Amino acid sequence: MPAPLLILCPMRSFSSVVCAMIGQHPQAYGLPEVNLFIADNVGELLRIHAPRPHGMHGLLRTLAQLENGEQTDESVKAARAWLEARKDWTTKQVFDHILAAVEPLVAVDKTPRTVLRPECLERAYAIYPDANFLHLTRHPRSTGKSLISNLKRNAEWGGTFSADRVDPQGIWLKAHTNITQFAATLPEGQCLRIKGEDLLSDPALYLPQIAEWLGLDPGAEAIEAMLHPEQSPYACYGPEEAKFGNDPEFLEKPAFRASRVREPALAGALDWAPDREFDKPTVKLSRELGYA
Amino acid sequence: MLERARFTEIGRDGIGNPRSLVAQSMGYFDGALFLGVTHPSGDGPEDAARILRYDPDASTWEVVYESPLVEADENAAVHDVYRGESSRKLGRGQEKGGLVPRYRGFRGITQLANGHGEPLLFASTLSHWGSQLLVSRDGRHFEEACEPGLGDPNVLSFRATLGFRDKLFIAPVGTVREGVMDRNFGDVARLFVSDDPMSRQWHDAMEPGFGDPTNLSVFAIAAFDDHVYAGTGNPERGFELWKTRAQGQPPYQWKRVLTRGAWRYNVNETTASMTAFNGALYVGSGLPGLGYDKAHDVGPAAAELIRVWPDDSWDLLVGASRFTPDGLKIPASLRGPGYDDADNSAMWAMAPYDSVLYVGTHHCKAFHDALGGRDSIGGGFQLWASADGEDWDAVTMDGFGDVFATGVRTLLPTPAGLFLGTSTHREMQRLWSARTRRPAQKSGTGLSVWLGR
Repeated sequence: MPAPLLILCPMRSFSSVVCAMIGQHPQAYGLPEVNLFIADNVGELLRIHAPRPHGMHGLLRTLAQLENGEQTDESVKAARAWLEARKDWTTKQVFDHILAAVEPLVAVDKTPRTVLRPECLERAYAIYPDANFLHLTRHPRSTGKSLISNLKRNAEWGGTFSADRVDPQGIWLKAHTNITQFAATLPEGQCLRIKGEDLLSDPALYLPQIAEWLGLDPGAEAIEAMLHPEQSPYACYGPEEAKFGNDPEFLEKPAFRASRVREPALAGALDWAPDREFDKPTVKLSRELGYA
Repeated sequence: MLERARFTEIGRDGIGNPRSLVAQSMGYFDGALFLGVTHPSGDGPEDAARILRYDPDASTWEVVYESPLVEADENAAVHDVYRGESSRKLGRGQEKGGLVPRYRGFRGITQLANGHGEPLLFASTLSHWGSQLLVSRDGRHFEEACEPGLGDPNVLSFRATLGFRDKLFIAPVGTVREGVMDRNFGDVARLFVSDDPMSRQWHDAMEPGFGDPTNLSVFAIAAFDDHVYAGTGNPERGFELWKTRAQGQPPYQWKRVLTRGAWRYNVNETTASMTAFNGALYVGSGLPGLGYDKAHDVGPAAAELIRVWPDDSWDLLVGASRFTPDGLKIPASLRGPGYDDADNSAMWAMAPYDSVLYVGTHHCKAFHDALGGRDSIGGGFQLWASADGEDWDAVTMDGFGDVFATGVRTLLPTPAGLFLGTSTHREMQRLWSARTRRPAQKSGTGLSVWLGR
């Protein structure tokens, strides 16, 4: 089985559209958020997601699609039963099961929760030491604004977290610090970084490079396929039993619309906390990621 | 390739002054090596900068210039921004009114023929009262050739100097202002040119900062493909590389070749060194300080090596793989930043010699070991060699056996061989000894000069 590509980024970093784009390469298979690296086994995974059922939607949709060829309430229920019967399976066994199902395609995972805890990143590496890692970035101001905006819709997918309680800057800094520290432990070339703004502003320039790095066909036909993330089976709302698994805004409008993605300024008051500016560590890391 | 055994130490322990720690500049003039040595501080007369002349035939050194002394004032003792405001002042040993060297180092030496074809040797000083350009016709007598700092007494040094056709280019680097010294940056990058330096007429060769105020200095300049190339230092966005044919009246028309630290952003903060080799320009990056620019909060990061072709395309030779507007860049050597060594903070000097390119590094491990009070001190500069820029062999990985030789500060190819000057910081022993309460490891101090042939 080919080792997967794991996209590393915090939430609100264009990961849904980027994962779907790369996953539309004829030699790749883009997954929704399967969240498998946040636990050691299925039982633990189910416990973690018990209070937040939407966290399982990506995995349920994946299993439904791969096992039954369709995402319906029935196939999702069957997927849930499949998991309930395998609580003693490791998450590696589940991911291996998915990799075997999509073989010979390269599975592409993007699970923002993975990057919030170093042990989750280490688990991912321990399970797939040959995986490639794509560090996907977005400007901290854009990320923060998007996070606040997204959390205001939290109730729509059963979330309870209030936008007032979140520190977007802290999340951005923690996630990217975790990723950069993790990436520094990898052999040269195993983790490459890309600014989401660059990729979405000029996909014709960057998608062939990503394909080349992964050893996939960088030809025009393959790149054209990557420009159609809406073709992904996960680029729409799922059945009632598992509606999400990706960014709701992506699920509503999955087609890629080419346009220049602007980068805001680092300096100046925070949009969500006008009495503050970015802290020094955020400015430092932002500049090192190319936001200056 | 010059292997380790073919290098001979021709000068050591500061060559007559153990406080001379850095072999900071070299030139070859009239069949002899000229070495400008630098002291980390200007405490007193013992820290006077010197120019040393080495006769390769007689294997002898002589001092041909020594800095004059001046009365100490508030600029004599300064805080170094790379050590922080809380650090002790450099030059702390000198009472106000005492004598200190006007120049505590030489940061550049170059040669240029004047309008009559007469060869002239220029040396740029490192001074807390405005860098000076010295000139000599015979290599024995030097005189001042410009106003301090070209009129700006805050200019610490002219790091990069280049004779190109009949013009001399010099780039101010560093400032001393209100008791604070920044060794590497000024308010904005500038580059000056003169087609008759003896006339003291200098002109801006470029728009300040190349139009970008975040370009804080021109760090390195080199001649290649009938152009002058200028590489900047930019702590916010990463270095830029520009080129010009230097035709017409200055300021010249420049074209940007690389930007954003060749898309590695600001951890590629400066162009530490550049040289032409086999039809390409080689550019080495670097971070000031000990692999972390404390003053601008950049890094830590190891350095990269990049090859630029005349058509402005470029290859990553040693460094971090990345996606760029110029395509996917994978290091051709398959070696990551710092030749896979995180302590190689700068590709500090490079030179071609006998169809082989040599790159010498600044290596931080000895500093970190000493300051951290670790069990032992390791490190020492590395010297790498390659015939094609892609396959590299290490000539030495341990400063030719001296872990306190932390950097190759100068490399100069000459008919007499390849000269290599070190930055040697054996004073680290005292720190380490104090922190670990163990005896110092090795005696002696001061820079070394090696000759490979």
